[in-house]
Amino acid sequence: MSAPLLEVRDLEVAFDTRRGRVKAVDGLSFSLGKGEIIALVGESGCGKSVAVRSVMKLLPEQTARYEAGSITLDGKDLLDLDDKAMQKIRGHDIALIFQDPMSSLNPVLTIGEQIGEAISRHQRVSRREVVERTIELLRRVGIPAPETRLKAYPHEFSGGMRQRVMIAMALSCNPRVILADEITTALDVTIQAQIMDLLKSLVADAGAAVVMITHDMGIVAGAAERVYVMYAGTVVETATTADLFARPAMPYTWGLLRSIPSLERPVDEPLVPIEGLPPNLARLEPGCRFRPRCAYRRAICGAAEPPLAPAPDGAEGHLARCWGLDPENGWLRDTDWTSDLGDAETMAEISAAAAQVQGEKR
Amino acid sequence: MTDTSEPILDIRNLTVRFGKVAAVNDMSLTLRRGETLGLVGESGSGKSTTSRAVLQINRPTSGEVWFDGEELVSASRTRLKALRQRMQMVFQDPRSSLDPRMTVEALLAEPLVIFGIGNRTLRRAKVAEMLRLVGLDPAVGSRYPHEFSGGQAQRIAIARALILEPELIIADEPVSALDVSIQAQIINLLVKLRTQLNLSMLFIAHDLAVVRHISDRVAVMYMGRVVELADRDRLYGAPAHPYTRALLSAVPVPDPAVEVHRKREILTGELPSPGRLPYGCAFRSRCPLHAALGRPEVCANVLPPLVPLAPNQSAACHFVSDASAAAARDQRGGVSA
Ligand SMILES: Nc1ncnc2c1ncn2[C@@H]1O[C@H](COP(=O)(O)OP(=O)(O)OP(=O)(O)O)[C@@H](O)[C@H]1O
Ligand SMILES: Nc1ncnc2c1ncn2[C@@H]1O[C@H](COP(=O)(O)OP(=O)(O)OP(=O)(O)O)[C@@H](O)[C@H]1O
Ligand code: SF4
Ligand SMILES: [Mg+2]
Ligand SMILES: [Mg+2]
Repeated sequence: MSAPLLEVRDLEVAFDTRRGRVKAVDGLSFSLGKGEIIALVGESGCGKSVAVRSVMKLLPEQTARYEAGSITLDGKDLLDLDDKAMQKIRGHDIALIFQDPMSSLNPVLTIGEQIGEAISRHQRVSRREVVERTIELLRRVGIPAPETRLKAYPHEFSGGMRQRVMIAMALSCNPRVILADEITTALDVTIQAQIMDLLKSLVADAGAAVVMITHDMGIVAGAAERVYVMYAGTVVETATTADLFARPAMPYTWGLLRSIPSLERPVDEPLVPIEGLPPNLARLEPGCRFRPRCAYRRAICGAAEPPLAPAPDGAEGHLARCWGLDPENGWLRDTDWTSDLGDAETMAEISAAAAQVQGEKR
Repeated sequence: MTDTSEPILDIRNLTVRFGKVAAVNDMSLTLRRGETLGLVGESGSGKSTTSRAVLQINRPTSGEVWFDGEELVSASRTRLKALRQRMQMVFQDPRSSLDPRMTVEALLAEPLVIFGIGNRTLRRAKVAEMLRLVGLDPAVGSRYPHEFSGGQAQRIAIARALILEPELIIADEPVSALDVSIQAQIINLLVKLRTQLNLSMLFIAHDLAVVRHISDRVAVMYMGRVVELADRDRLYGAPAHPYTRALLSAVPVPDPAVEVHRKREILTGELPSPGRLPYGCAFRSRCPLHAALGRPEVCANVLPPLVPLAPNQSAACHFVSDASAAAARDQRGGVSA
């Protein structure tokens, strides 16, 4: 493979909070090639949004600290750039589409004004051209009768339409890297399919590359070439999409796949959630991050963090972080995750521990 | 849960207009006691507007909303306020529904305070119980909403809605911001709670797999109207309306091998502008069946009413029960049961 367009390596980002240091991203690595779509998936709070905001250097300056690692775009480390240089990159080279369109659109400006502003921020264009391009962008993202909607305010649009406006704004300067943070989450499926087609065509035609954050494994399956499964700030498994779904290697990924509601699955079969809560990042315990919720754990799991190592299926670039997969002493290398849900006694312990958390801390 | 009992919620000919836009257009829908009714449909089809109009947050332009035998559109403010304790809403956007200046504990206790329920100690215990119920560590009670990730914030909003143990929950995309493992916890939780508390629920979501998992019946909306209403198994097993069929075929399947070979009924054609709805069937401009039948005029001239096709299924399409149309439809493929 050629040199990656965007590479995040061993990134560590922490927040200073009243309760101490919260390490939101802890040793995260991923890379994005030209024309590639990758997906970051994982539990709420595992650091996906912080990771993509780090790439844009959009974290609150007072409290956020980049503690280690690098973020390189075309070989240039963005962490070395000053604010002015970053301004040039934002929107122009890398665009971030936020998860939460209502709080990122300005409620007192019209849709036309906001997209127009995004267009003229990086380019010198006439007013008429701005209007024409705004209409064109809105059409491209599937807003009906766009010329009549320029004077509308965000609250007059439905959630799905606002998300499409956000996408139109991000596309205004033809960025090379698009960071898409849960952009299809609020949309119904026919528009979702259109937006994913749109993203795929931007990749195919304009050579853009996309980092997609989603919790929808269906979307991952249909669009991403590679998946990074994150847990508590770090990658616990990565593989090509085909490998990940065919031979998921470690317990957290198994848990994710088991909890998906699907049109194919019997309705009366309850979903299997992952019991317990993600760890409090301010007080991470040593060992495997998933250990407190893992029904397959053994003594070694509490001793040290397992390395991100080649998965048992031997596919290239399939890596997983779990002691159970250790080539010497691993006990999960041949486990059938669809039938073996882990140790029943351990599972009971996990439920009991989850109930206790609230008892002790008040 | 019997069909003969009085419905908990009865929406009759509801219309909500914003200027020229009829966000909800002469819509009727009944929620049976103890039932979960899924509401799905196009972005902008009026699902949120419906839910807000039910609670009188948006005043309906016309129509009636009956809650447990009382009409809400004509109800007094004081009466509405009293009834609101029994109907709670979980919003689509957790951040804008949680006051950023209040701690999580204060946010959750607030409804109890407003309705004068319990004392300080009891409220504290209840707050802790609710946080645990939605999968949060009660120690987070002293934090503020902005310190939470999107999914965590939504769980707080759900806890806040459930704390008054309401009879009716209107949940507008309550799990769409959550990742799958927590989604499963919340869905299992809602399923458990609705039996425990005999909760009736209007469940709005765009994820048809989630809706299938939780709903007894499902209503499909398009441009402010219900175009299909059916029992869960019927709707997913034998969808009748061409829009429902297109929706189901667009659901992404979490299996790359399936996704690669999947035949999608990608809807083409312009969405009509909500302010200038076409005469006749609003789905006409994008309807694969309309196209397959050579664009019959009746679709352009006559609004198709929601008519029963079977005891547990109705659809609003002129050609849905037509045998030749069904053949044309089946030829085009779609999801099978
Ligand atoms: N400004 C901040 N100050 C303190 N902590 C923060 C801040 N922003 C995020 N965090 C913490 O960092 C962690 C990662 O948050 P992030 O928003 O990246 O999660 P996420 O993976 O995007 O989750 P979701 O799927 O819910 O959006 C969380 O534990 C969150 O509480
Ligand atoms: N306050 C308002 N002023 C003007 N128009 C509005 C207002 N609220 C909603 N609308 C319009 O009403 C229609 C229905 O919107 P609504 O938010 O109910 O859709 P929805 O089905 O909930 O969509 P989504 O799935 O995107 O949330 C849309 O055309 C929207 O633009
Ligand atoms: S290292 Fe141990 S605790 Fe962690 S996922 Fe593997 S088996 Fe579970
Ligand atoms: Mg996020
Ligand atoms: Mg809505």
